[in-house]
Amino acid sequence: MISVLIADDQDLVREGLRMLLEAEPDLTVAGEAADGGQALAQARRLDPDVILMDVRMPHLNGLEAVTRLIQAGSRARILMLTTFNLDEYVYHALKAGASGFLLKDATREQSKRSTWILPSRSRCR
Amino acid sequence: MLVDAGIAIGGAGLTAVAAWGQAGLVGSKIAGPMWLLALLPLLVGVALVLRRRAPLLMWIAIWAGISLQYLITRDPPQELAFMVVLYAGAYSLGAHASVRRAAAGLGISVVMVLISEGALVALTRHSGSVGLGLDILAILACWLAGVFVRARRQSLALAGRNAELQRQAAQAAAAERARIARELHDIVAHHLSVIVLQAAGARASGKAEASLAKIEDNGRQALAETRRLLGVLRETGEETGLAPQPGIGELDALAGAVRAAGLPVTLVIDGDPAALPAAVGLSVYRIVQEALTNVLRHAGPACATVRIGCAEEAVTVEVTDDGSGEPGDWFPLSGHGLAGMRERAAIFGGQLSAGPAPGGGFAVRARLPLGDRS
Repeated sequence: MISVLIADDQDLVREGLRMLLEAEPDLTVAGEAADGGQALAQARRLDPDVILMDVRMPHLNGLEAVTRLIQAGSRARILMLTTFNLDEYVYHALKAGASGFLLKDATREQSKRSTWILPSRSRCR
Repeated sequence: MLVDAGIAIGGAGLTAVAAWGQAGLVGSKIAGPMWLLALLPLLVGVALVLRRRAPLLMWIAIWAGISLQYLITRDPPQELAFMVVLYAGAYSLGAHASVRRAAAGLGISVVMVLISEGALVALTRHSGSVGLGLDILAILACWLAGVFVRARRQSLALAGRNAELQRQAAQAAAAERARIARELHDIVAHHLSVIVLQAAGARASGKAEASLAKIEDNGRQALAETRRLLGVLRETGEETGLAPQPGIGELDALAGAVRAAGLPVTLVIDGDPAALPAAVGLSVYRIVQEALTNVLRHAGPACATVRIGCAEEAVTVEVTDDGSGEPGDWFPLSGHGLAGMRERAAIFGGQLSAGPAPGGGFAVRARLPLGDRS
C-alpha cells in the first residue's frame, strides 16, 4: 500500500485527486494540506510515501516546502502538481529535490502510474 | 565650457590688439586712457565667456564697455573688434537667453546708447553719433539668427520628449496587456484544473452527481470571468494596430459609443486641445475610456459627465457620475483599472484621484502637467 499526501490550496482539486487516487486499490490518501506549512506538518505526522505538491500556495509555496522537506531528511518522494508543464517553477522544484511532476489534467492511468512507480525509484538530482 | 572660453579669449585678444597694437591691424585703433584700454578687453572680450551661463549679463557688460569708451573718447564705436564682439554677443543673446530676456537685452542696449548720447550732449554740447557708428541691421540679424536657432533646438527637444512619452505610454499599454494575459492564464488554469480533476475523480469513484454540479459551477465561473476580462480588453481598445492611436478628437466618438451602451454622457472640452502633444492626448483618452467603462459596469442607472480642461501648463480630466457605484465595487480585477489610470497619469508626472463624490456618485480626477514648453 502506497500512502499519499495531497498539498494544494484548491479544495476541489484536492477532492478530485483524492477520488482519483482512492479508486486504486494499492493507493491510499493519508491526508491533505492547503498550504506549504500544512504540508510540512502533515508530512512529519503521517510520513507518506508520496507527496503531491502544488507550486503556488499561500504562506509557504510548494517550492520552498520541497526544499525544507529535503533538508529535514523526509523519505517521501515528491511530485509537483502543475497545470502547464512549461512552468519554470517545476524545473526549480526538480533541482530542489522533487522527483517529478504530475499535470493536473493527467488521466487516471497516468496519475496512478506516476504515483505508484515513484517509491521504487531513486531521487533524481 | 572650453568653446566659450576660446571665444572669450578670441574676443579679448581682438579688443586688446585693437587697443594696444598698431592701428590698421584690425580696423581703426581704439583710443582712450591707459586704464580704459586695460579695462576694455575684460569688459568687452572676456564677458563672452558668460554667453551660455548668463547671456544677458554678458550683453550688458559688452555694452557697458562700449558706452564707457564712447563717453570718454567721443569716438563712435566703429572698431572691427567691437563689431565682431557685438555680432557674437547678439547671436549668443538670442540663442541662449529666453525670448523675453533676449528682447530685454536689445532694449537695454538701445537705452544705453541713448543715455551715453544724452550724457555726452549734456556735458559737452557735442552732438553724439554713437548710433551711427553701429551696424544696427547686422546686430539685429545676428540676434534673430540666435533666436531662430534656439527655437529650432527647442522644438527638436520637444519632439524628442514627445517621442519618449509615446514610447512610455506604449510600454504601459504593453504591461497592461501582459497583466491581462496573466490573469487570463490564472482563470483558465484554476477552473479547468478543477473541472478535469473532478470529472476524472467522478469517473474513477462513481460519485458523478456531486462532481457534475461542481464541474458545471466551475465552467460557468470560468466563462463569466473570461468574458469580463475580454470585455475589459475590448473596452480598453485593443485596436488592430493599423488605426492611429486615439486622442482628444476621438472622445466624441467614445462618448457616442458609451451612450449607445446605455449611459448618457455629457462631454465638455474647455480650451484648445489642438496644441496638446499626441502622447498626452492618448493618455487623456485612455483615462476617460477606463473611467467611463467603470461607470458603465458599476454605477447602475446613472449619467456621466466628462470635462477636459486644456490650459497652458496642464490638462485636467474629470469624469463624474451620479450613480450608486460603491468604491468596493470598483476594479474587481485586482485594482487593474485604477492602477492603469494612475500609471498613465504618472508617465507625465501627473496625479490621479478616484473616490466617491460628496454629492453621491463617483469621481475620477486627473491632472497632467505639460512641462516646460517655453
